Amino acid sequence: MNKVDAKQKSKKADGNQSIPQMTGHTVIKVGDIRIPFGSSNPEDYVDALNKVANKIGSFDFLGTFSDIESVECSNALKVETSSSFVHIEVENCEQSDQLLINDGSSINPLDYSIKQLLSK
Amino acid sequence: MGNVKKNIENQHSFVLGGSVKTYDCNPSERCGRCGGNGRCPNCNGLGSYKCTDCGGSGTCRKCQGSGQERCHYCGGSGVERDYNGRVTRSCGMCSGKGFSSCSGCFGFGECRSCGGSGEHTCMSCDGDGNCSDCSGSGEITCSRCNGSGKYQTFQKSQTTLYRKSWTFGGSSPLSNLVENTSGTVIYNDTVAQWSGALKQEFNKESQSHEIIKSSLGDASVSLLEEYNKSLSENSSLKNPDAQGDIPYDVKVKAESVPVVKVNYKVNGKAYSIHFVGNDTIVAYNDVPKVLETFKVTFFEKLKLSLSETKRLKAFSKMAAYIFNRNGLDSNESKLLNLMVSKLNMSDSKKKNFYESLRGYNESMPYDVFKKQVKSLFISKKTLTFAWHCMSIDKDLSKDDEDLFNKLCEEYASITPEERENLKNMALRFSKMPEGSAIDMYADLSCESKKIRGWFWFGLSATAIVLLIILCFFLNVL
Repeated sequence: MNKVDAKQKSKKADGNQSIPQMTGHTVIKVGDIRIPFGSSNPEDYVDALNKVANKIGSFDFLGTFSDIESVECSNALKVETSSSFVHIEVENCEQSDQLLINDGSSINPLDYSIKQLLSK
Repeated sequence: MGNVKKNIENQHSFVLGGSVKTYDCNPSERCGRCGGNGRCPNCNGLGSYKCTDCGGSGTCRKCQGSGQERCHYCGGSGVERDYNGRVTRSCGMCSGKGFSSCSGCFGFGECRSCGGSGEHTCMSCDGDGNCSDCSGSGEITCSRCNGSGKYQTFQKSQTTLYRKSWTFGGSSPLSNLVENTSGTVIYNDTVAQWSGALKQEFNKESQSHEIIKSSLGDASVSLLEEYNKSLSENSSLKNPDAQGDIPYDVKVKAESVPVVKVNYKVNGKAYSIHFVGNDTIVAYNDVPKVLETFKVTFFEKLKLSLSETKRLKAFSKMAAYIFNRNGLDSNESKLLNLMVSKLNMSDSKKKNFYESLRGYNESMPYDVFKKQVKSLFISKKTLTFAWHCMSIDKDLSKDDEDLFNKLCEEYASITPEERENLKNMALRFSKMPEGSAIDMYADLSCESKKIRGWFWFGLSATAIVLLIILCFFLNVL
């Protein structure tokens, strides 16, 4: 286990919110800092670096005292997909009451529409 | 790809009407308890059973019905004897009879358990000998038809609607970060729906891809390919019957997550940091811990921390000397005021000090000025501060350059390249909130307070130890 992993595990153990992982990197969630994502102008990131400086364990005014050489902007795709399925089980039953009437309908559940199966 | 989650959304059951069948049935059935003979199985229809204590005889087993037993005290002799075996008197316990009443039956001679009858009434049938379940008839009501003479069989369908969901964030090293943050929603809809078993109602998959592609641009092509692959593994869209259950719908929510990688240098070393998504996840593998330019040793730190007020005074004098040469403008006056306000002294003393700063002007010889601020000529920070003061009015003159060069000469080891770096650093200081800049110059930080605290603690502890040693020696003498 490398040093970074150990650090992240201990953070989790401290009861912090779940922190995603990135191999070889330390990852933190800062949330309340506004990042000028649309801009690739280095000057626009001075403030962002200043604000994260203490959170990442660097010195005060990191943005002010660093030479921002380049900014690479990109967009990643995040897709949340969900598929729903209908699971059917047929059970043989018996009763002493004579309340049911044979209506002649299909005895194969697959002949019914899903909406019927869920509301009939 | 994130973990697949499974949630049950709806459960419903109904009778398949066509499966209902009604059957005739015997309303009664043989009693299972007595096997149809109507007799109580406990007593076999007798209503009683033999007493197990006396074996059915009714007499006490201990005394065999005599009601007497041998005296335990005299052993049945009826007399008491001394050590030599001579008879001394008749037995006090049995009055010389040699026997007493039987302790098993208290002298009555009858079995205590059955009262002398030799049998017990059967508790199961209350003595009537009939089976308690069928009351002796040998038949009970039919459990299948509940005595109605008919019963029904049917099939019941149990339907469970469950949803499997997963998150796709690509296969790059950032995928895990992308999955855990949010972006701008570019598509959120039901992509496909089925009306019955493998009867698809609609499929808008290609349409959804077009919308995602148009929002993300060409860069999304490879991401969409990866996403399609994950769809075939996880959703019913590509393999509707792979799950073994009937697919119902596929919902897709796509977000464009902004990612920025900032490449920067500190102290000549390159670093990079990633900012990912609207919830701003930050990823980095290394960060600069200190600004090497102003790095000082622990003892220098201690020295700086102990002379903080003195240094702040000296910085104020230097600022006044630079500002007063061509008149104090509003920015300069503001900075000077701020510095004096940070001094740890009474208001009247601050006012007097501020007044004295007027004397730091072009009429003051450089050598005199140098003596006044000699405590500052120890670091690059001083030179940075000087250039900060010179450039604050955005009007750099030749006099400014000359003064800066003179100051640099005092710092023997500084190279021309470092001199330029310090000028750039001064520009950065000038962009900081003024209070913070002054704190950094004079080191009015929490760290200096901590160092100062430890210094005084150490000094006090040493003094106490020395005092104890001194007292010890005085006592010895």
